[in-house]
Amino acid sequence: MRRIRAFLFVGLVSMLALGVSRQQALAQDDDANLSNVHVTLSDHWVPGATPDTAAALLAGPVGLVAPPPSAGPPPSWPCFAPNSPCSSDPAGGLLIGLPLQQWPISGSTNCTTVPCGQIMAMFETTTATGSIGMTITIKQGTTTIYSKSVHKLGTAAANQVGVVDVTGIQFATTAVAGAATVTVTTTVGTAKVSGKTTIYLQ
Amino acid sequence: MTRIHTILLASLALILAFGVCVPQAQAENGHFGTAAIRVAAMPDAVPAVTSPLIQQGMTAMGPNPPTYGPPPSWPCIPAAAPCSSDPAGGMLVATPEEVFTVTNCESTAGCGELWWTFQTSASLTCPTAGCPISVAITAKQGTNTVYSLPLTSVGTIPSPASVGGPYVDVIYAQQGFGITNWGATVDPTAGNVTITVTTQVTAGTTTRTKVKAKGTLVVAVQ
Repeated sequence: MRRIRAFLFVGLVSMLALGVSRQQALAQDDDANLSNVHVTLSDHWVPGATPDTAAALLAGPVGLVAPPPSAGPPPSWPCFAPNSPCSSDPAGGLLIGLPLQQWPISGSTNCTTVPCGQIMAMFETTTATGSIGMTITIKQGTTTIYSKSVHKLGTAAANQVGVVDVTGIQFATTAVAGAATVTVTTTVGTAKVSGKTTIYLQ
Repeated sequence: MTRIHTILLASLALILAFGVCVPQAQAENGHFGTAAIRVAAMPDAVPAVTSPLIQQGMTAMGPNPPTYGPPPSWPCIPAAAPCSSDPAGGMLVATPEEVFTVTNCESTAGCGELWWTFQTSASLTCPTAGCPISVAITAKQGTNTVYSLPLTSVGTIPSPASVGGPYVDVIYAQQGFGITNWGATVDPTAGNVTITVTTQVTAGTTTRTKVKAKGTLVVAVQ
């Protein structure tokens, strides 16, 4: 009996999770739905640099990139070489999805009805350490067409380079043709940085 | 169809290649490379009427490639060599980092490899010979310019229509700062450096219009 109750409870939780996750993918998020969110860390690579006088946390580039063919784990990208699955690439390289600025919201591929790209944002720690969090918004003027906020993605140490990524980006149906601003705010411990990119929906 | 080609900037030396990879320029003290158009595994995008003719993508700087080639270790678009094992739709780049040393940045090797991307709109039209493209780079610490490359012609890019649709370009340069090896009038000091990259394309077949895309990157040198 106890086993059956446990099974039913798990089933109920799964149904609730599945029921709300689609809405979260479009607009909101929470910390429970992390299946499409990753953080990948690597040691600072540039030789000779001892990051001790720069800001505690520095922002790197942000991109809405081509989706990885394999979601993994580990996903096809982002991938710090020579880790798997980009083990054939030399150290110091990073395999990412191709950064694309144009995304369709009509025609055969409509990113308001199907998941499209992957958002990735880079950061580098000097003295910042601690829990990694991320907030993403995609806005057209004052209209938010995508948002997600997750916390406790992992833990960063000092002198690391990291990349956070979210796959399955799908815009709200309120998206219209024109420019949209992607903003990613990354936190490590108490330090916070932001990066942006502009995309064009058509 | 999204297509990609890469452009190498080596110090003050510039190389542009497109189409079937014809290196067109020379380097003074940098590294040569080749570039290629490659097809990305992405769905077609319908022509845009609201987007700029060229659109800035990512701007970053990371380690110099272990091998300058040609082809260099990075940037590299799979499934071309040397990243032929990576899946289509990806791009191998120098890992973006933001902290570099003054010593390295003043050396001939520079801080590392600066790279940026831009995408063309389907509405970009070019003569048969292609649209002239120029690039500029400035690196500043406050009012001090620790590196400056004025707008410099690097050749031409093809009309998107002639290659099947909009495409992504990757431009990369071995990048350093200071007087001795990088032609500046001021040496860098410990602190932030703001790097601005400009890509200018002269668009149109009869009426010519200059369109620009800019990207910025802040790095710390110490």
